[in-house]
Amino acid sequence: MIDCVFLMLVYFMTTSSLEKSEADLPFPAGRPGLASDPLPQIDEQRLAIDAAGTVLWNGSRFDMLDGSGLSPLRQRLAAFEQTCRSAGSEASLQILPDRDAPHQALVSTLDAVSLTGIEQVHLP
Amino acid sequence: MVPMPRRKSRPPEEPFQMAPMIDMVFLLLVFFMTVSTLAREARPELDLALSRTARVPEEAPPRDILTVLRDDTGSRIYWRNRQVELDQLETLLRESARNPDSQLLLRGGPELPWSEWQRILALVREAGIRDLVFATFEE
Repeated sequence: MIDCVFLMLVYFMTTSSLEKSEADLPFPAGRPGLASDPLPQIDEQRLAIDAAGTVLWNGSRFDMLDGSGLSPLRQRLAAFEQTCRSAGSEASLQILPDRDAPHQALVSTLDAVSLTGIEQVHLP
Repeated sequence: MVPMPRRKSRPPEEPFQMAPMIDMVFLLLVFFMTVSTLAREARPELDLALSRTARVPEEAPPRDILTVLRDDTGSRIYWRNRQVELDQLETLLRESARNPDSQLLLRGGPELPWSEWQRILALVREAGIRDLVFATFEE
C-alpha cells in the first residue's frame, strides 16, 4: 500500500501546478464592419482609451492603469445609465481604444462598465 | 590471568518506525490533491491583466484558447499550445465557428497593445464566433 501511495504522491506532484486560476471576463463580440460603420446609435457615448491607458470621456480623464480612474469612471457611467433609464432608453457605449492602448486599460474599462450594469457595449 | 577488557554496552537499536513516515506521506498526498489544479488545458504561460469583475468559472465550458505573446522580437499567436500564423488562424477560427456553442478564450498580457487584438478580432468576427472571453486574474 505504501508503494501505491508513493506512486500517487509522485503523480500529483508532477502533474499538478500551483498557478493562480484564470478568471473569465466576457466582452462583446461586435459585428463585422463595425469599425467602418459611420453611424453611431442615438444616445451612444464614446469612451476613448489613449496609448497611456487613460480613458477620455466628455472632457474628463480617467487613469485606468494605476487604478485611480476606475471608481470615478464607474460613478459617471452609473449617472449616465440612470439618465438614460429615466429617459426611457437603454444606455449604450462604444469603447474606442488607441492602437497602442494597453490591454490592462481595456480590461479595467470593461470592469467599470460591467459594475454599472450597462450591457450595450461595442468594441471596434 | 589478564582481565578481559570490558566492552561498552550499546543500547539496542530500535526497529525503524514506518507509521510516522506513512502518516507524513499521506498528508503530503492529501495536500497536493487538494491545493493543486490539474493542467487540464494546455496553454502557454503568461502574466494576465487584473480584473475586478472577472470570475473563475466553476466549470469552464469546452472552448478554444488563443494566446498572444509579445516580446522584443514581435508577437506570436498560439492556438491552444501550438504556434500558428495569421492565415492558419483564419482556418482554425472557421472550423471552431462550426460549433454554434463555441467559446473563444483570448489570453494576452497586460501590456499587449490594442492593435494586436484588433487584427485578431477582425478574423474572429468574420468567422462568426460570438462568445468571447478575456482571460484575466482576479484582483
